[in-house]
Amino acid sequence: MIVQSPTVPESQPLIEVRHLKVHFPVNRSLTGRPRAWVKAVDDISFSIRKGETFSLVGESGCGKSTTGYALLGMLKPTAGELYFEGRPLESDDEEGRRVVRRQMQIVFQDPFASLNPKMCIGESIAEPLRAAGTPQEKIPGRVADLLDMVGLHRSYADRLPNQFSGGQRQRIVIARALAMQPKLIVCDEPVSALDVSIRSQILNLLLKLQQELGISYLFISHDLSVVRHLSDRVAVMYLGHIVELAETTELFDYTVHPYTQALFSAIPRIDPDQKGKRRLILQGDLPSPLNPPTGCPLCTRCPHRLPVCETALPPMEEIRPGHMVACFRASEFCHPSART
Amino acid sequence: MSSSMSQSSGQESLRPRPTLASAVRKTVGSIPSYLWIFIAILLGFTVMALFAPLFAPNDPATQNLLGRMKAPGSVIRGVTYLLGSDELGRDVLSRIIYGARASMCVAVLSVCLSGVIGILAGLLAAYYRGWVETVVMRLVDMMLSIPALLFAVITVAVIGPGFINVILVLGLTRWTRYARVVYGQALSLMPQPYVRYARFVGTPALTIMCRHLLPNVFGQVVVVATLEFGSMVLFEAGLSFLGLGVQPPTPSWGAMMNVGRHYLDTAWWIAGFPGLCLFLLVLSINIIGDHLRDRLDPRLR
Repeated sequence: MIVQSPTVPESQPLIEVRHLKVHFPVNRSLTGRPRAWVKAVDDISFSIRKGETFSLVGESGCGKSTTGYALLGMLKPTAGELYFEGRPLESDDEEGRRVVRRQMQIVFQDPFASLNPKMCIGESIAEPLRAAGTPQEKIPGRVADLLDMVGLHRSYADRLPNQFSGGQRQRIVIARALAMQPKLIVCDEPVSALDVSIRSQILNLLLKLQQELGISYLFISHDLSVVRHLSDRVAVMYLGHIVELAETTELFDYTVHPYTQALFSAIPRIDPDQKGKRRLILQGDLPSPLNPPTGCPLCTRCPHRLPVCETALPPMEEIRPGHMVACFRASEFCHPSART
Repeated sequence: MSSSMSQSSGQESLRPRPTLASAVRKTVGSIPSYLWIFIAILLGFTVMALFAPLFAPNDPATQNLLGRMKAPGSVIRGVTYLLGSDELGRDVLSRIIYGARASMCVAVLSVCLSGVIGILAGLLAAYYRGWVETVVMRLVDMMLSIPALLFAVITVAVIGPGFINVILVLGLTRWTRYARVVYGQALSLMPQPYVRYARFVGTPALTIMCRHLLPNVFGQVVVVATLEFGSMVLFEAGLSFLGLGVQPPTPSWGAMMNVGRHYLDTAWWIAGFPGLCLFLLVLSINIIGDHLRDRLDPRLR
């Protein structure tokens, strides 16, 4: 599944996110001054290598989609730096930024709302081409090629979206994302709105395209089985923070952070040997992002909390090669006896 | 990962594309029978207005002072007055047929003008938000707080009556309904992924408004336009009734009713028949408009 791009030096990641913060003002006073902020994304850093699938997982509202939108420039980050192939995404001039942004694309969750119902699909696919100033005579051929790439018949270009099923529409959306030959596609829960029977087809299509074109994916999902199947590396998010980040197999085999353990123990298992195994179930509810806990974001619900957890934010530490955890007790949980 | 599987499964059966003929047949077939009556009335008035010279038995401006205020069906000097004659001996039927021209013409043009202004205002307010939204929508509120007819009367009184002026006044006072409907609908479309995507790839604002927002609010606009069309016919009649609309000698239903009201006790047909026509036309338009609204409004389906 892991695609090695031969030409790329390992030193330069495709995307680098440093200390990204996205805060939304809420509850403005009469003068328009915000009284409170929702810290949707609060100081996260990660990088995406070329040709890799990087997954962000976490429950609803943890900031994973916000991260994706900020990366694409659909939201303005409050703070932090974003780099695309080493070039800063924020400080460039308007035109330069747009050219860089063309190499990043998005596939939304809802294939029904992703396509204008009054526009034929060929036009929808051509939209990024037109916006980039592609000459008119080149567009029909390119649209037909794109339909081919996603496994739809070339002649469908003049059909309206309501003639297609959800899976077919998601193929169209993927074709549109491919139009500008992007280096990164942000997949915002691309299969969670689809029937289970269609999911694997779409996921396989994404994998096939990655192998053929060497695209990187930022895969946003809460479906852990999909993430495990598809990703090279996974970051677990909780309340706007990344709590654990590792290669997929490493993360699933050596789960360290209590939140990740809780998340993974929510995966239904049918293996009878694991029946008696202790599951970690968190107590209480997700704290309001308006009023997050001071210190570790999990400290209100964590069964292993120490007094220090309530006052200080645990730093990200590399406890095994490539395995980053933000927990004061990470070294204890990493001990083989504590493995889940 | 069998990529061959994903290849073939994308070609799963496509829902059949409706042909134009079958779409038309389906639409026509679903019109309830009572509605055909009103469609016929509306079409009848439209044809009558378009080809007035072919339908009118007499010249609408020819006076016949010996044949004044004759009852419907009278024959004076070999001229049959099917719907009677007015205070100057002019044929009421011919004047109604020519009067339909003024009514429909003013209504169509002012609906178009107000529609264009309202759609533009609504789209701009919903797309740009911020101060544009504030200015446009507060202006709409201000316009709505003034009774439209009063506003029209004052404006016509200032700039003078006449065909063009009536259209301008109606167009510039009645755009607010379109603006509100378009604004509300477009606002709900803005966070849709396909609009966000268009903005993300840098599609120009005007293109987004014309190709993404407008086609998806147009059904609502058509409904408002139909209902507004009825109001416009009434407004034109009202202004003409007050002597501020289409000026004599051009016949207009409102002006005919205004003159006719002096003779209601002796010659009811002078005001009665234009009034009846006005009633039938506006009723038909409103019933068709209501039907369209029920059909096109997804919330009511």
